[in-house]
Amino acid sequence: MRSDLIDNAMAVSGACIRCLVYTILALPAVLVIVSSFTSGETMNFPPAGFSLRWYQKVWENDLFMSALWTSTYVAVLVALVALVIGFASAFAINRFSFPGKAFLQGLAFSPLIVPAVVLGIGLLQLFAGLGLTRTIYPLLLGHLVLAIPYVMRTILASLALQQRVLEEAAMNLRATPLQVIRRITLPLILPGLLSAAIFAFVTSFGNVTVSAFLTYGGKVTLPVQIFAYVDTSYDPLVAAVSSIMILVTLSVILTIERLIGAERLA
Amino acid sequence: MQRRTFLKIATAAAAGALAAPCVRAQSKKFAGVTLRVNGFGGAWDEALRKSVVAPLEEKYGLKVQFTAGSTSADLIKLIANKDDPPYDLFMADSPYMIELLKAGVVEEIRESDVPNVKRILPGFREYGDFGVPFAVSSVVPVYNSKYIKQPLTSYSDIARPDLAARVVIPAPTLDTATLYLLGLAEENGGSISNMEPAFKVLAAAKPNIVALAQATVAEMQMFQNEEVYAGIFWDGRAHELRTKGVPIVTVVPPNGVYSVSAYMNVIKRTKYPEAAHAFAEQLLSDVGMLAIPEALRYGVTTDVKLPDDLRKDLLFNSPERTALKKKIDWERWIADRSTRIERVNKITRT
Amino acid sequence: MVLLLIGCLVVPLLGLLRSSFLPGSHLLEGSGFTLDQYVRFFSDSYYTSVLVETFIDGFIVSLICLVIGFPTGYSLARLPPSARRWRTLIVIMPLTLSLVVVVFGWLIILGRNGFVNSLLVTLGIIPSPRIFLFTRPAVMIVLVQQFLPFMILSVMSVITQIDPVLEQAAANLRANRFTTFRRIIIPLAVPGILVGFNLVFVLSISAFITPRLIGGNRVVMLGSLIYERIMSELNWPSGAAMAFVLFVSGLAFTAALNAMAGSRIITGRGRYAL
Repeated sequence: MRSDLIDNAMAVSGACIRCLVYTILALPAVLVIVSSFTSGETMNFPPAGFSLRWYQKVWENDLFMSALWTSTYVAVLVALVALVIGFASAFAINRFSFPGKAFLQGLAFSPLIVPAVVLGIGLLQLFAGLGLTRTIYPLLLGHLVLAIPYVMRTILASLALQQRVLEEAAMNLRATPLQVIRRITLPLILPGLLSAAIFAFVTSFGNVTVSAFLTYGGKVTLPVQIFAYVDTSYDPLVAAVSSIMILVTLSVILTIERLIGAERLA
Repeated sequence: MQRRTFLKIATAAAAGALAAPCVRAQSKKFAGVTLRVNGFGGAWDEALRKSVVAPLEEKYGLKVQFTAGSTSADLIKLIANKDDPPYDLFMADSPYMIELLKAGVVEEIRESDVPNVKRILPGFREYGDFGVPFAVSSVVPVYNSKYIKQPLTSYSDIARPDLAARVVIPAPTLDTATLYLLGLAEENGGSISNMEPAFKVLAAAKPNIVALAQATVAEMQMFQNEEVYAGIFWDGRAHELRTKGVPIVTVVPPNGVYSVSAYMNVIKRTKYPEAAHAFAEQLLSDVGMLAIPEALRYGVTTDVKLPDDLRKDLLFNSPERTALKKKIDWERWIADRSTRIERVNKITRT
Repeated sequence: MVLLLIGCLVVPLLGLLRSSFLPGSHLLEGSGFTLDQYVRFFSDSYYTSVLVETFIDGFIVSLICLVIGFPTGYSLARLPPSARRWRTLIVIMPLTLSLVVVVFGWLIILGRNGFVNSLLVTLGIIPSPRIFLFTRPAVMIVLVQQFLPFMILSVMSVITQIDPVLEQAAANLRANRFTTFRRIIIPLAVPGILVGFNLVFVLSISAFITPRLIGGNRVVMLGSLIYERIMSELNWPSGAAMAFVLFVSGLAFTAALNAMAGSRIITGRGRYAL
């Protein structure tokens, strides 16, 4: 009798908490998207009327469109490179023991603790010294460093999950190590790799602070452009651009989800 | 839209953007030259593009590229890349001028190179031959007349007891917007070297202060959502709020108004000093000078004749008003920055 | 990766460490060696109290994330795949949002004429709108929203590895759900909880945009002080010293957590089970 009560209490409170959590997580995004369809001149909630005019303005605004392109391009590159590097080092950490391993792990997670502005200026100084500030590399490398902790965490978790029996069996069948990785390990941890790619993409796509120092040759990423824009103008254009950002990231996630199924993410 | 289609369109757009400029303006004076300027973003850059860049392109085939960002990040970028500067022209407000001069990254601009320099109003050029001021904005008390029936008249009025929990002031880290502190000091017998009276008023105003706005946009939102009814704000922004239907009144304190100018600088080691001077000349011309006032209702810095519709909206719209503009010892203001920020933070922190 | 991290992280960090010993308040330049910046930080009660508050805030945010994130992560892990799909997306979505946008959304929710106020006034719970923004709780709520996904995902990934058979066995032994949780699930999920806690804590203590925009400068956190010191005051040495204090204390906290849980958490070795 008593245990039933406790069970019920837990089920009810659990449901309440979940309800609250999903609301909290989704609400800000929903509000922004709703207010972007306003037909008025100001960003307000509830929006005054419905129109697509602010989306049309974004579409006609070269600055935002080229920034969207730069951001997408950089984020895709970062995701790809982060995957390769993240897999190689996570594999090494998980499967081998070598001197300095603990150091390497600590190192891989430390970008989370360094304040972004410090990382940004540090990288700026470094690349200015190397004479590389006119190129895309500082931006790419800066975002890579930011993405590594998430990528490593995800890949490490999937590697730890995976049974090594299969790899050993393949080895016994005289497969070369490369064959084993390509035919066995990679396909098995594919979901982990893809969610790592999502993390890398969104880290790069949304970053402002580090990017602000590393923009190059007149190219600006979308979040930096938004930040500068709201400094002098404040209208629903920002909500529209932000909604487009949500749309892009959501479509990236959905594409990946189509490929592997969300239940296998994370 | 499918991701692939998006990429296709984006690629096509990028290719188009690259190909287009080569078509015209072959034989013009600055054909093929592109000047790089740090941008303030949004409507500001847009205004300059329309009234300064477009005529220059028409006349000389000169191209100008704005890169939007925050001035401090751009300044740090500029100083880190002194030897190979990422900009040819640099826009900066008065306090950043101090840092630019300290870092020695900007060139003097003389009347011989930019004849329109002689049109700049007396007292508006604060750094000798360095930089040309092209817009002036003032930090003034403002209030919402729908809720505040007794008008504010001075900076010190933010401490009035009837404004409890309804006042916003700019955060102390914003060097320019913080000039209101100087107003508080000078209205109460202090000066730039004796800021104590200002801190006293601030402490008295503490129960009134809801928030210290970290960014102009944040402050806009607060006024617009009627989160606050009174405070210290920019004259141009107060006008913008009025156009959005918020009945904000701009107060002109009789003891003086504190203003900051936006300067255009020519960067040392630019490859195109002549083109940069042409830009400055156009910026100070009638058309160029009215760009920012028309878009944002900030004041002018030259003897340009104001059209009537602008005149009624601008703060400095007559010689008497212009005379209210206080001279500011920027070097001192910047030197005291850290202690000032710390002091204000300590007073206002909950 | 080693090269990348050493080049792009260790070198800037060493540069940072070096700069923190510079005298004066220059930007990117200067020479000499002094402990002044640190002395100044630790001798002023304002800074030390901000440091302590930042850590307390970070701890509370992590705790809230744990309390509400654990049930969510658990239920996600136990849901059938089809039901899990959209919920996972909702969890991941905040990670993809630019902070500027998130903050705008919260202004609508917590503002004086915002959602929460209208709701409370309509329901008659409060007579007139209250100020929620620009207070410490508001900053913490927004931090929780931003970093909750990390907790949920970490918890979810360990729970999926705990065999549901264990729970059924416990139920057969007439343990109620609370006992099952306390005796079986939570001990097994400790590694995931710690990873999540760790991530949320570290992210919260270095947050700076949220305290700046939602806190309206009256709620000060170390991250925003560092940002201001460098970006507004252009005082690189002092900002560097503060950043280093934050870095070292953050590392110390992480190390303490890891010591508690043994080495198996981050290595991902030993399949998380005990």
